[in-house]
Amino acid sequence: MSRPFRKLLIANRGEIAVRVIRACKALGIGSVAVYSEQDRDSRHVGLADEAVEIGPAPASESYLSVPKILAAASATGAEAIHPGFGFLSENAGFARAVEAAGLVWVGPPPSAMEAMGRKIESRERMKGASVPVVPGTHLIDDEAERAAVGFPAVVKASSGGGGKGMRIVRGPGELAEALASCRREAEAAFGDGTVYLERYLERPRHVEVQVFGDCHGTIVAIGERDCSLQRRHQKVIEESPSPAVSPALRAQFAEAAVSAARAVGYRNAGTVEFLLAPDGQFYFLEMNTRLQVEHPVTEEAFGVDLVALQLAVAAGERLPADLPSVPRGHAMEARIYAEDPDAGFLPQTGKVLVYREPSGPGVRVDSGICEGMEVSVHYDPMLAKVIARGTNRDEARRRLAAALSEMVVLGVQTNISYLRRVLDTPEFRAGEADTGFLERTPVTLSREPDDGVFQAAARLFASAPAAGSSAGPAAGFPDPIAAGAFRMAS
Amino acid sequence: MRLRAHGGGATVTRETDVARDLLPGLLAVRDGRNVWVNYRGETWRVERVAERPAGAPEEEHDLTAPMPGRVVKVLVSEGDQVTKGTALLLLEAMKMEHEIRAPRDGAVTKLFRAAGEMVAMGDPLVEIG
Repeated sequence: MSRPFRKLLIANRGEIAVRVIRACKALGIGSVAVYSEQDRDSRHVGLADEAVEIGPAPASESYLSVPKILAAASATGAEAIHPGFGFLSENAGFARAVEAAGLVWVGPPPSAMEAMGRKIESRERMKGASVPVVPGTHLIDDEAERAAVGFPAVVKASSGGGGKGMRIVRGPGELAEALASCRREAEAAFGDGTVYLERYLERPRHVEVQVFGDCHGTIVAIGERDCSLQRRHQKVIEESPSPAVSPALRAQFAEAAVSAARAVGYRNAGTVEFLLAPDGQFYFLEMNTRLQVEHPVTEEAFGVDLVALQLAVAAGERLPADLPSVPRGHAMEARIYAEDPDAGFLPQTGKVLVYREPSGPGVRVDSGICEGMEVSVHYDPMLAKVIARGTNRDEARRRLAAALSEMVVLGVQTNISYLRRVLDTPEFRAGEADTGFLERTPVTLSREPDDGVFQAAARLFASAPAAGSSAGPAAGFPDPIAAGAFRMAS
Repeated sequence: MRLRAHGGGATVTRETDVARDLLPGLLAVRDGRNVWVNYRGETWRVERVAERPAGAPEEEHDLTAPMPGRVVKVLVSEGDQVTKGTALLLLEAMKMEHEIRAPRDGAVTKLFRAAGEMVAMGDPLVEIG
């Protein structure tokens, strides 16, 4: 692939910024990172060719500031902007501002983002394109409309996504509180408190199709991802291909997804999400007009580089004619979050004191953290993704479990142990988990801590005089660089 | 000393001696209040807990903030009887709302925070008598 631009600015942070910087390096494109004061020591800042500070920690004053990001692009001479996901990635106003500044927007046309960004409108557009949608209504105050949806139902934010601004309602008595909570969260997260009501399908699978369009009228589907393993509508483990999708069903999904993308004049990378009911019927859920968090499973299962394709297509190139439509193996991804699975999965903060990444055949780590980095309340608690590829599903699953047991994060509580235990549940091993599986099923305990775990901790409590210290390396404790970095910063 | 380890899906409290020999392959680091230990693929956060006076109950009475954030709404009043699992208040952090639930049955004897207030990790939120 030829070099589409000389220099690209990445308007994001964390692991996705690292991912895009890596693509830039592979293509010989200069990379510009932006960062808040909080992220001065972050991994993406150190990896990029240039880095520009864009304001204080709150995202509203830094990563969501259009003028500051455009100023950073102008100051560094960047020709194009990649938004990553989250932050401004689905903000059509930002896409327009990028184009108005004479820069290339690495993403879909703003009009397609708007059409799909308002979920109420996108549902209507899909009906028009003969793509099946879940029964629902935005006329929440109309009793007849509500009755037609029935219960259980789900309240969703029209501008929502990523599980934010969603509430399940089991009966009429829960509706008022769910509406209020959902409107508040949507208003705070997206600046738009509009919500709508949809029938809640029982035991569906979440299957989504990767689509790609170029500016020469070609739109293709590159297989599906199964993201049924969710908790509170946040994806936990994703895989490709879906264990529930046959080659014939894959062709139907591809056709529906390409129709959906074509209906809004789509270009660049996008994801069309569907719910697959136990009876084999599937329904359009929403389209995410950006690169998806779980894009690596498609990359690993199909042998493509979606970020490199995004850059090529944004520069006006044609999609390659030989893009695969059949997977070459199986890939599975686990999302590493700073959260405490034993305390209601509440997000956790702290400084990363020790960090060791797994490796080995078929193992890939997309991570945004490094030792010494502070995990704060200001940003999303996702720290990294671990992806494993195998010739078949079980090999991918075993490699992923092995990789997770190799991974070490000390200083911030994570969900790594929980993920390993989820991978080992009989339902997941059999490929039978639906979107409600994790909430229904208590995940078993790992093992009790050994006496030696307590004794080692006791030794550090007894001998270490001050906060942030550790015993020396001779005593079998970590490299003093980790402890030293902590001491300096604290 | 008395230590409490969180990890692997459980919380375990144990009276323990200082190690003479460390387990091979064990990794540990201290950040003041916590010691983080990784051993054979599992990680624990270990904290020191006060010696328990004879006859004192194992559980503490206060419910503290499990994370820093902002109180969005308080769902109970002082004097309310609650059962285990009752939603007590909503805490917002990292752009998400989280329900803080009663860890056991009892009466709400004290509310430490009102809606709109910021809380730090470990701040007391609700006392259940």
